[in-house]
Formats: sequence, structure tokens, C-alpha cells
Amino acid sequence: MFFLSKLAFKNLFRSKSRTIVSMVAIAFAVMIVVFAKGLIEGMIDSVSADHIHYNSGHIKVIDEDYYKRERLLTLHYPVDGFDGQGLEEMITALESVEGVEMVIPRLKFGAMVSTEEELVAMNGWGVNPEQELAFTDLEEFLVEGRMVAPGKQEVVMGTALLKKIDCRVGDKVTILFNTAFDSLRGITFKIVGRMESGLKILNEIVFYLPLDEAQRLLYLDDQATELLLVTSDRKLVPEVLPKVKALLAKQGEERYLVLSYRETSDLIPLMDLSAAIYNFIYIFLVLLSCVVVVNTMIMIVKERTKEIGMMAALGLERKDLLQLFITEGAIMGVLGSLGGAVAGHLINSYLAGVGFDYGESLSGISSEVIFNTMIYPVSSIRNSIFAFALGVIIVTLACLIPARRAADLEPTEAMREG
Amino acid sequence: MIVKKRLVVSVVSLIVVFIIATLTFSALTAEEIIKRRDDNEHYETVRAEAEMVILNRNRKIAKTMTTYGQGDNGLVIFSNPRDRGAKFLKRGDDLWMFFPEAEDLVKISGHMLNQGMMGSDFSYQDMMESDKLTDLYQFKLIGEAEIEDRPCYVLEGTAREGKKVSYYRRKSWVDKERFVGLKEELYARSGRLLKVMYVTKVEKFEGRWYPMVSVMEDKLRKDTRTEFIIKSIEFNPKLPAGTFTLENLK
Repeated sequence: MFFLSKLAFKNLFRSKSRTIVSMVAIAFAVMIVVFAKGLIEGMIDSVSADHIHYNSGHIKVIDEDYYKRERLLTLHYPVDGFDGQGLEEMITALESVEGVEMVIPRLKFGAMVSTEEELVAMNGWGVNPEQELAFTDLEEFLVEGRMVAPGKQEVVMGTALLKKIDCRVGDKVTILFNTAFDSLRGITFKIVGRMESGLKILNEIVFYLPLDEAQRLLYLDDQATELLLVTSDRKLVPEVLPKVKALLAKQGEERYLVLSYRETSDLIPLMDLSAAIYNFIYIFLVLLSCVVVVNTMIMIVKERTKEIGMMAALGLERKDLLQLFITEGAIMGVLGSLGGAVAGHLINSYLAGVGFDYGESLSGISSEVIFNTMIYPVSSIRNSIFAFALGVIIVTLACLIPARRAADLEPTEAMREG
Repeated sequence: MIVKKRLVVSVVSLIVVFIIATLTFSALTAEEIIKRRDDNEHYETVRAEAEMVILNRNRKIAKTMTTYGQGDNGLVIFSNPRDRGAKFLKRGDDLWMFFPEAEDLVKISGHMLNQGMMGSDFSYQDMMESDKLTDLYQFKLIGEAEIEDRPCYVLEGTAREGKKVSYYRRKSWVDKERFVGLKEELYARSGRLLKVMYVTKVEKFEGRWYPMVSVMEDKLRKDTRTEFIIKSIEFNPKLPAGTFTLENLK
């Protein structure tokens, strides 16, 4: 047994260049698997996190009629508490649900600013600044100035939006919007901060203002358009969701929808499906590299036909021959996969820090789609082990073809060859 | 006998010619009908107190205002509590807005003028346009019909070449007796019906009939309609100089 393994290892050095080419092919395939898996996971993580932060929270409570017209940002169907009694009581009740760590109200509305050339459409988000800074990445995105403060007529905007309206931090801007009573209203705000992020929606569309000011200006006191519920981990959502539904049912509130972050996203289920499909693609990718290995092994068998015949004549059994060639292929598989897994891990570790900027290629995507143009691949040992194991198993199995060919040779005929 | 017969034929012929001539000269052309409507509804200057009631599904929102008009210019000053102090001034193709809590005037123009004013079914253009219909549209008489038991001429107007209009085509029902538009269907160039307007109350002021209550339905919106009720109106008043200036707006 040990003898055969030793022999197989030695055989690898008989044609070094062929062995190296085979191992490089395997390494390359495994490296791509590690990288692609890291990239896909990074994309899913990024899409999920951004969707949770800027759209849904882990669970979203919203009026059913508002949900149907969400794109219109209508103010006719707000979340106004249990039986219209205001948000405060409702938020307290929701915070007492086991697993809910934070309840974040947001008041979203359509707005516009008139410039010399055009009317620039935008979305106002009335928020509790402290909660937003704690829950989202806003602090990181604020590259100039500060976040809005409660009770003040001030706004924070993205760089691209500021450019569109030709304003900068410190300037004043008059924003037009329709109130809950369909009155057009114009208010002058001070711009106190500038955001820069990979999210088109935050760069080009949204401006933040304090929730209390938004409620006052829109005539929606103690109301919001949505409540975002935050749990300690998104995996807890299936557990917490029924409890929130039960609470609303107990209060007799049928007009509110309680939706998990997956239900409010088109992208996340699509990404999950893509990840499942990619798992099959990885197998085909490694199989492709196996073509090189199998080809090398077939050539080896052909070159060593006489030697195989002699070994068989000296008493080496069929299973030993099979083992010899499978071991030879497996060693290439192990070494190549190890090299590929390490290289892939190193690449992902580097890219996880610097990220990929999809900025230009995603310029055509709608600003309303929450998709960060900066993607950071995930660097994980789990992914590298997965790719390594995939490489070793598939290459070893693929080596069965040339190994069987060698084992099936008739000793007398084989010795006559060459 | 023959002479007598010829005389009878001549008299009958004369009577027939006279009747045809009378009928021909008394029937109004589309141009004349619209001109008579313009004479009623058009003004040099106007000042009115009005109320706009917006009905959107189960919601009912009322806004009160004072409006001024002169030629191409219009000024609306809102007086209901939620909009008090907001002023809209239309000068030519531009609309300037003043809001008490805004430090600057806001200017809007172009397609924005076709948006619903204050959430109503009337656009800014509908509310503040005062051009004569005969200047904007080429009308033809396409029939007669009754609206609320009142006989009407039915006319179809197509925008005159080079004229900027909100609606490419309009179908108008004009009261045959009072020469006031009682119904209006407003169409896009594609033929799509955009709005329908009904006049539900007409009153006579200073010798002219004028629509006092109009109802507009924007067909691109669901379950909405807006009533525009004129509480009082004064035709050709002497408006203070500078009524339609930006300085006056602030």
C-alpha cells in the first residue's frame, strides 16, 4: 500500500512539466471557485444588508394600501398606531416583543427642487437621526458636515444630488413637496451634511431630514409611512415575525402588513437562486480542469504500457494498478487544489479589503434599486475548504477513467507494446 | 291662365329662396359659436373669490383662494388655513410660487404646468390659462346634443399649428342659448381622453353668462374629481399696478 503511494508520488516527477501543467489547471479552477464563491457571497451579503438598512429592516410594518402604492410615496396611508392613536404606543408595544431590539420609524415622501434648468425630483426621508446612525452605515457615508438634528429645518444629501441642484454643505435650499392634505408646500432647509456611498439611491435621490420636522411639515404628527423592526440577527426573523403578527392581530389591526426582509426584496431571492445555480457551475469548472489531468494520465498510461504489462506480469493485481494511477491523480488533485484554494483565499482576503467598484457598469440601473456599486468579496476558510474538497474529489474520480484503462491492459499484450 | 300660373310659381320660388336664405344666414358657424363663447368667458381683467373641493376616494379637501387674471398673466392667493399665504403667479409660460416658509421664489415651467394644482384635477395651466379658445384651436361643428336638458352645439377643436396647448384636441358642448361651455372632453395627441369637465352652474354677470361651478375629472387618475366653485367674480376691475410682478409675490 505504502509502496504504491510512494511509487505514484515518484512517478509524478518522471514528466515534471506535464505534472505541473495538470496541477496548474486544477489550481486555476479551484482558485476561480474560491473567488467566485466569495464574490457571490459578498454580493448577497451586501444586497441583504443594504436592503435591510435602507428599505425593510429585518421586519417591516406598513399599511396594506401604502404597500400597493409604495412607489408613489403616497401620504394617504400612514402607520398611525393602533386604531389611529399615534406611533408612540405602537412602538412601545412592538419593542416589547421578544427578539425585537429596535423599532425605527421612517416617513418617506416625494419632493422636488427647482433649479435654473430643471425640476429635480427627490425623496425625503424623515428619520430619527440617532437610530439611523446606530442601525445603518450612515456615519461612514457622511463625508462632510454632520447628520441632521431633531427639531431643526435641515437636510443631508448625497454628493450627486447636491451637484444636480448646484448646492453645497452650508447652503440653503427650498424644497417643494405635497403634504398629507395634498397642499404643495415650499420650505427652505439648511444643508448640513453630504453623503457619499456606493448606493445610487442615497447619492442621487434621497435627502434626510429630522422625523419630527417631516411630521410637522407634512401634517402627519406622530405618524410614519413605515416601521422597521430590528432583531439581533436576520436569521431570527422567522421566529420573531409570527410574534409581531400576533401582537397586531391582538390589537385588531388588519390594515397593517408585517413583512420579512425577504418578502420586500426582489433581488435577495434571485441572488439565493443564483448561488444555488453557481454551485453546479463550480462542479463543471473543476470538471473542465480535469480534462487536462485525464489527458495527461491517458498519455502516461500509453507511455507506460510496457511497464504496466511488466508490473502485472510480476504479480501486481488489477486493484493495485487502479490504486497506483488513482493515487497519482489524487496527489495532483490535492496539490493543485491546495495551491488554488490558498491562492483564491489570498485574492479574496485582498479584495475583501479594497472591494470591486461596479460604478460605471451599473450606471444604467434604476436609482430606486438598492444595490451597492462597491462589492466586497467574502474571504472565508469555509469557502476555501469547500473548493479544495471539490477539487480533490472530482479530480480523483476523473482519474478513474485512465486508471481503469491501465488496469484493464492484458500483461502479455502490454509487454509487446512499445 | 298661363300668366296666373307663372305668377304663382314665381311667388313660391321667391318664398323658397327667402326661407333658404334665412336659414343659411341664421345658422352659426363653429367660429361664430366659439367667438360668442369667448365673448362670455374671456375677460381683459378679472378678480374672483373661489373654492376648490378635491374629492379623492373618501377624502374631501377644500381650498379657498382669490384669483386675478389679465391677458397671459394670472395670480392665485390661497386663503384656507393649511395653504394660507401661498401665492402662484403665472407670467407667460412660467409659473412662480411663493410660500411663506420659503426664503426664495420657486419657478416651474414646461410640462410641470400640466401637473394637478394642489393635488386637484385642474392643472396649473387649466387654472391660469386665459387665452381665447379661438386663438388656440381650429373648431368645427360636429353636431348638436343636450346637456342637462339644455340644447347644445357640439364642436371639435384641434390645436392651431404652432400654438402651445395642454390638450391637442377638445370636444366642447356649448349652450345654444347662453353660449357657455357646459361640457368639455380634453384629449391628447394620441387620441387618449385626458380629462372631462362639466359645468354645473351658470350665472349671468354684467350681461354675460359665466360658469360658476365646474367639475373636472382627470381620467389618468382613479376615483378623483375636483369642483371649482366661484363665490364671487368681478369682470374688468382696475387691478393695482404691479399685481403680476415678482416683487408683489414676496
